[in-house]
Amino acid sequence: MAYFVAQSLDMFGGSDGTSIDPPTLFGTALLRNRTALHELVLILLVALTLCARTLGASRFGRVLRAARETEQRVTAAGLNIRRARLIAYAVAGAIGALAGWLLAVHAEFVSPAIMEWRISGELLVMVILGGAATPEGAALGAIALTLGEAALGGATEHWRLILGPLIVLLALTGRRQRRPA
Amino acid sequence: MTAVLELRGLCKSFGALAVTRDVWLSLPPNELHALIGPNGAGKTSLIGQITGTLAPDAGEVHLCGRNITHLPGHRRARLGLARSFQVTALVGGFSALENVALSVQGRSRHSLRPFGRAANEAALNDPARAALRTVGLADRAHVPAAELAHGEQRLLELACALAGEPRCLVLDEPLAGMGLAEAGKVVDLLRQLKARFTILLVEHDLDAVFALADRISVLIGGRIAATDEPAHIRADPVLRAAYLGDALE
Repeated sequence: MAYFVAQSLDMFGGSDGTSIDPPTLFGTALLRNRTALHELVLILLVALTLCARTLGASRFGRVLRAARETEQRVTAAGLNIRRARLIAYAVAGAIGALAGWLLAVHAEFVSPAIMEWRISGELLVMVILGGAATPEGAALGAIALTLGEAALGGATEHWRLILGPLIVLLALTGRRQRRPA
Repeated sequence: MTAVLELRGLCKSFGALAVTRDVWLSLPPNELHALIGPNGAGKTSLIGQITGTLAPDAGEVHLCGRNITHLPGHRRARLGLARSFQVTALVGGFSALENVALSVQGRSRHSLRPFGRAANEAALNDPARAALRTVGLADRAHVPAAELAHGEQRLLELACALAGEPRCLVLDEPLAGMGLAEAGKVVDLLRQLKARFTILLVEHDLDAVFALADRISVLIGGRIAATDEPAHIRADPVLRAAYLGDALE
């Protein structure tokens, strides 16, 4: 949906996309070079992973984990599930927005193609591969999939043919990770 | 003296089926009030209207003089209305202690605080441990709820309800599915709790009800047929015919 909407917006170049200038703050360049960008990504990754862990172990996180199993009990305890989930959704959205900004700065270009379902699917595969139970899981999954793509891509042109079934196999045989309590 | 829990003319129908008909009920402080009645009498619907899962068509629910008829379930719980479930509703992956701590958290301030390790908070764990001691599960505190025996889960269900110093307990068949020995223990426990809480007890085990209740209300066809002391309920010939039958013989 978003893909087709974005494609029809002339303001941002339609299907051709739009190039992005390096970010500035009050006229001075925010990032000196590519290395600085990569450092920023790494710092944000570590910081946000720690944030997510803290949230998960807090009272707030406990409510989310409990509500996944029994909403009745959580409500009877006097906890507002709607409120907790709304906050979680907003936080996830904010982190997603930050990631999108980083992607645009990194590519110096955005086009509707990154809203395609294949990209969304790839992100899901990363999370499932690494384990959806922990924030580190998503990072590990992303590393594994990217390395896998690179390794197979170097060996053969038809790397998707191998990687695809491999992921399906992993999904079928993978150990279901216990959710941390 | 203000009633702790008061129902004023509650009515609820599903289409043509009236499940609650003009129910009035008033529980003074520290009363253990039992609600009995045959299957389909509307006990579960009535509990739903008290705890906030079901909206009445007419009438009001008051907790300590405050009208809570239109408050959502979690707000009622925060005001001190605790409940246990007929079918155990525990967080299976959480330890016994963490299940009770969750209830304490719900009645504390900052119930959604986004920082600090909840599992290490003494402010949550100490009252939770006290509740576990009350029901006799102190030595099972770190066992996941899903791995507890059925009887232990029923006790944990009770511990969750009474943690965090509620004003009123609504207990939905706390003896359901228990063996004789276990049921005896729970009856003793409820007798202890009577001194500390106002309790509305819905229960099928009539021996337990007559042993515990200060007053009993009999619900038949969504209507309260009688509210009286156990001795009078037991002696009422009309009620015997309508519901109690030979269950007491």
